[in-house]
Amino acid sequence: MKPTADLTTQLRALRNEVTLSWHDGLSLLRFDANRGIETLEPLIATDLGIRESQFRQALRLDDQGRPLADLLIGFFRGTLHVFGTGLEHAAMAEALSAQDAVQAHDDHVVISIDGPFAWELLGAWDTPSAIGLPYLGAYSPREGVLAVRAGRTGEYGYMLVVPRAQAEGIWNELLAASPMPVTVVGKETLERASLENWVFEIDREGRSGLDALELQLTWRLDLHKDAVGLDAIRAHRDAGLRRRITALRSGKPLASGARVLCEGQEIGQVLAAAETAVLSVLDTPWAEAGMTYTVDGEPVHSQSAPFVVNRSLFVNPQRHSWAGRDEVELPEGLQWQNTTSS
Amino acid sequence: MTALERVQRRRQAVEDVQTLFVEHLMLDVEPQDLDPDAPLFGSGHALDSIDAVELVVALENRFGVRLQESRVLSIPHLRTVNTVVDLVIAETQEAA
Repeated sequence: MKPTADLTTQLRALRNEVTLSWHDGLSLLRFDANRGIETLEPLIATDLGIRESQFRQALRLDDQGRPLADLLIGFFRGTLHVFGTGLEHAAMAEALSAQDAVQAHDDHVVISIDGPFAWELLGAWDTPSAIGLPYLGAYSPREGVLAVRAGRTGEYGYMLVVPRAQAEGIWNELLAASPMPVTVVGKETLERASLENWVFEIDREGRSGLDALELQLTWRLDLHKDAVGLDAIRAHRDAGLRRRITALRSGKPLASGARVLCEGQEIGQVLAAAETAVLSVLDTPWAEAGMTYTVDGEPVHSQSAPFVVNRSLFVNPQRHSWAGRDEVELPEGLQWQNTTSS
Repeated sequence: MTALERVQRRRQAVEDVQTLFVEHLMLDVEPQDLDPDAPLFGSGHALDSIDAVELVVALENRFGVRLQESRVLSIPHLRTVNTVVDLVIAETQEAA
């Protein structure tokens, strides 16, 4: 279950073909649907009006409005499922008042299928109709297994939540069913991909001390509801932002904490970087795309996120296949790009 | 133009696009709540393809630009408020 290829090879497979990964780090909790909503409503800053067989990206904030846990919450067959990162499982259960919930953490694992042709592997393993699963939709490909279309890489992505006892068998079935080469990828590759696409990572920018507004996570908040952290968020919003996370492109690798300067004046710092892709926090009014600043005496350019053009945006499961992958073309004026190589 | 003037000009363009989106799509948020780099489709603000068509028409009317079909249909240009601002600025400069 561990990757054997180097990071560049893993990343290339993720951006062009299909990859598998094995996750032990997610907290998995299951609530009775009605009781779960009652429990989570005052704790979760996100609107929980979620329909059956749908999931939603949600946040548990601390009382200062900073992310405490990054959650995927959804309903399936009368059960409220919560997949969480950012806290150890016991702390997660406590943060979600989940003492009465079913702790699915120890007896389940998550297998992720990612890449522009991930849907083709899922369809080959299960049924071709699986390719019609909408984003953040869920279904059960077999008894006890839950499939959710939810990736963190900008490419097509599916999470299979499987009983631990069946996990190795399903992993091998996936490898055997695939009509294309499958590359096993690890946490480092997935984190790199999430940075390239600027998918929020709670253990990266989420631990920088920024609140959800500064992290550009307003879209995950229901500012009309009453939940932990939202009073602080509303007060901050009324007062106006003084800094915001901003994407930079650098010609050389940068260190976290490096100072960002504009005409000699410090305006922020680097939060995280990988190759040429940089996440920074900049003071307003400087936190805008299209500007040139300096870090360590070298120019850096603020830009719109994400850092890559994803092949998945142009792959249509109704028309394309891995075998005919050369037919997937970019519109005029665009180029495949990557912070490493494509 | 100074750096401050350039960044203020960019901010104005971002605010114009945020306001246009909220008004034309009748979103139940304030313009400032549309994060510049949050995804507009799928996750994020969960807009759909019909919204995309309306957005393009509204952008053409508001900014007086003609968004050539090949560019408009390029999904990356419509991913976020910031990518839309990039597109509008590029098309405005091209028209000039």
